[in-house]
Amino acid sequence: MANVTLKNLTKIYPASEKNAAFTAVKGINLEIRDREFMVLVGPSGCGKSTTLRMIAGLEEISGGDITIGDQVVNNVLPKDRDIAMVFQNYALYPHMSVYNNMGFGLKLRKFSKAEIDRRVREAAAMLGLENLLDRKPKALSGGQRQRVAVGRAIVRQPKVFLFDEPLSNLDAKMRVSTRTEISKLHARLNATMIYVTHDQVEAMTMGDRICVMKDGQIMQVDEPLTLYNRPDNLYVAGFIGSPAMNLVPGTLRAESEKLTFTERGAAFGLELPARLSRAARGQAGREVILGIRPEDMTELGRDGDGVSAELELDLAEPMGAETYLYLQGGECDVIARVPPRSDYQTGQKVRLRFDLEKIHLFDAETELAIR
Amino acid sequence: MPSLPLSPQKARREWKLYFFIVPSLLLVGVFSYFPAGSAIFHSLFDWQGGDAKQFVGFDNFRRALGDKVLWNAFGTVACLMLFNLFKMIPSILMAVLIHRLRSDRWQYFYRVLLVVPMIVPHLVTLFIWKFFLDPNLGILNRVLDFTGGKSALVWIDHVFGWGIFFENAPIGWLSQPELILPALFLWGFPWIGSVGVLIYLAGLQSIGSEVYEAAELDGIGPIGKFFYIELPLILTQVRLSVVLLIIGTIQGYGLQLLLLGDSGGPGGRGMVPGLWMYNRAFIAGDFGYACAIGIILFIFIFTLTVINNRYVRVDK
Repeated sequence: MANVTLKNLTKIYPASEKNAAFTAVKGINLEIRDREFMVLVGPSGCGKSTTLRMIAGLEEISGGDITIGDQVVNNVLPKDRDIAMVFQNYALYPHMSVYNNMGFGLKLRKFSKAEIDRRVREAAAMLGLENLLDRKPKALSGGQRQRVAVGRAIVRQPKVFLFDEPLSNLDAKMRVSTRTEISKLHARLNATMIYVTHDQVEAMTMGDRICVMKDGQIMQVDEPLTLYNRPDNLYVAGFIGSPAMNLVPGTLRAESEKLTFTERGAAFGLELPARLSRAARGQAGREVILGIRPEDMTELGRDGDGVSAELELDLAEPMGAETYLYLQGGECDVIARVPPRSDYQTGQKVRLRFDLEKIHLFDAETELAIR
Repeated sequence: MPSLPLSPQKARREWKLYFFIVPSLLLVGVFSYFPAGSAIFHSLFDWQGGDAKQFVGFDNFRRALGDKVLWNAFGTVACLMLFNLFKMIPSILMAVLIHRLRSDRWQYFYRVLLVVPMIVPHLVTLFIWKFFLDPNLGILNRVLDFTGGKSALVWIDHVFGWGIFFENAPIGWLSQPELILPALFLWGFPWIGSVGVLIYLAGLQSIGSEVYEAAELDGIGPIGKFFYIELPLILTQVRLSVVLLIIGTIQGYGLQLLLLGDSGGPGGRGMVPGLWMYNRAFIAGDFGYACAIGIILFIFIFTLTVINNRYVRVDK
């Protein structure tokens, strides 16, 4: 097992006839610890897959260093990097049986037949593929194919496992079960795993740490709950969480010791808690963005105390266990997550209390968190 | 209750489709099935091509069984088939090389380069090769003279005592019986067939790039890539080529007719069944017998194709 270090890693696709030069990865630095499950997450085109493929050696790097264990692998062939990769489209060999698909890498590495057999059967048992070993990939379901692809990686016993959006081609149910299988596998193999996805739910549920990327840059690297509770910037705040954090533009005004936030359309005003007042003192009079998660708002009855905002209901979405309220007021749209109730009417006023300890402030210009 | 193949509703809806197929079917019937049926019919007759014919039952077939020329011709065609199977290899390699080019533009360039010769009529290619093999003016002999290849051949001849190559005489590729098969082997060098390459390329292009990448991570080298990934995955195309090649080789005789004449060259060494059929029909005027040879050829081709389809398995 090994740690993986990316230092100033850069990928530039040179200009061609059709396209201008494009920098897909802009000098990122990332330390992936030994035995860690690191998830690279971000929208398509953010450079996460390119980063993974550079670690695998499938993509040449334009600058910087990749270190696996103690070795700088910039110029090491993919096969000699001691990594295994699981692809989005499984990339199984269509003409080989499940057994041969899994054993092929070992065969090329001149392992004995007995050793290949032992490892393949062990991995098959781990993944519940024992009865499918003679089948060809085309006779398998999507989930089974992906398990074979994972098995092919396991038998190699590599230092690092790389996953490139492995669940994207599976249906929703299969995705959830395979997700948990991969998580269990990580616990069992205790290996370093780097996992690329665009799905923040996968990222949150699987990763020891998550690296959020955007436009070839790292926005934040942290443990899932830290990322959720203490986003460093507006992008991470909006990306992690579903429904997303409400982001309300407004201005800060100083009133004696405390700062107050006023929504841009004057739909509501808030007195900031002491913690934020201190941190944002310098920002008084300036435009900021207030962030609050849908679950950090409480709906108040007609005569409840401590109202933060009174907004108009656009739509109520009953989800069963909870209801999402789509609210509107001033220049902002807000989603609140409230206990289930079915008697909402479009256009009615909803009184909300914000959990002031859980609100976030972001600089409107730099988009960085104010804390 | 067994249903009709075409229900009344369907017939009302789709009669136009069936109607438009009829002319094509008629043409195919008149120009393909009728002659074939007629050949089967006439193979049972002693027939000189005119109105007069005499029913002889299976005599023509009995005669064919004892026809040494015919069976020698089958031997020759078997040799040619082996040659042609061997000649598939360069096309496959060429397709793989083009496929592995990283630049799309160069791939395109090579594909065009391969397609352009297809506009040259086959007959012209045959004439070029006839000229190429000409003992006095042909390029082959000149190249052999120039490179010392001829001296080497003469020396080898001397060692083995073949009596084929002589220092002072030009090599008669198409006029010496012993050299006819080697000349037919050389024909088409370097054996890169445009259609073949394009068919294999189509097969190769259906292999996903991720499969290649997975193989790369598994530690495959360039040669392993060919044997473990590319070749197995284009077997469908290869099999198609083999079937076309077997049919083409057994029934073809244009090459032999043009290079060697209607008697298969000196000693009849280039005689193939198709040419013998042609010879019997149009030189000897023995149409009934020629029909019987045609039927025998058909049976051979049919059998080989069935065997190929059934036993040359493609796992994909």
